[in-house]
Amino acid sequence: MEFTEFFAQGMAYLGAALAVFTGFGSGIGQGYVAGKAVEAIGRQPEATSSIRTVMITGQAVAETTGLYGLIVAIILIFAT
Amino acid sequence: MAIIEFYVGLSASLKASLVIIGALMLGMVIIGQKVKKLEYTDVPSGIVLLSVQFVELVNNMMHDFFKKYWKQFTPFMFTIFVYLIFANTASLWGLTTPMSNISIAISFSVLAFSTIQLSALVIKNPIRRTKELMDPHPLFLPINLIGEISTPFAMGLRLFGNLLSGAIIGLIVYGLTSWAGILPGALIIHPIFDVFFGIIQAYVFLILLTIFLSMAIEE
Repeated sequence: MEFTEFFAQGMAYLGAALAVFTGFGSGIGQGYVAGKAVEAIGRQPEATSSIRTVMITGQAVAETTGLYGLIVAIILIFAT
Repeated sequence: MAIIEFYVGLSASLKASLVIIGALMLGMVIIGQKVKKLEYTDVPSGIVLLSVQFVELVNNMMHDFFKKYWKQFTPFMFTIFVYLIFANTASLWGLTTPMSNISIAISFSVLAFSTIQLSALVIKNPIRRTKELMDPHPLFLPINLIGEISTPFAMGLRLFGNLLSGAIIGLIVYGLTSWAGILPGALIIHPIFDVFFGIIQAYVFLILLTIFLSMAIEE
């Protein structure tokens, strides 16, 4: 097996496909947060807007780790 | 002319950023003049009413976090929030979003980091600030320093990742559905990725900057 530039490019594409798997964890985490928020609204409906604010904030912070995988994948595709 | 050659030679997101800054400066001066002419018994209407309500909204949010240095930092937060709202929805006006360029996104994280550190060093003594960094035990100093660096870095990278992925998915969807005109892409991509996610990311940047700034300044 000779290591040409095509080999490096192909391995970079495979690595980019593996890097997007970090979105799996962030999807589970954000869905769990939304479930807990719905439960809390069911328990006390008059705090809806404050629960909604905290839910959006928590989900946006939890999205960051999924974004790291996306950035690694983009760097691998476009810069190798 | 040299200025026009300089402007044409910039990259697309920098051009969009300059256009947005110019339009915002003009708009805010005009609205400010209209607000200045109101008496305090008048009832405002139209765009003056919208801007007064918006400023009240941001002020009430800042009052919950800043107890003492409220008046010094709220204009800064408001400016960043308004710029981010208009920058993230800029593709509705035919411009490239400025945050899809990594230099602009990292510059926002550098801005957040330097604001927090310089404000904490000026308002509190440097000696007291160092003592705060060694809070439970002096061995915690590297961990606290890494935490101070990584949080603004993540704030800027969050903006970059969201807007870049919106731009790339927009390219793909427009390329695939170009046989049906512009509507299938425009009706789905722009409301979701630009308006919804853009405004949420601007709000999250504001909330995170407020939280970290108030944690570093207030006792």
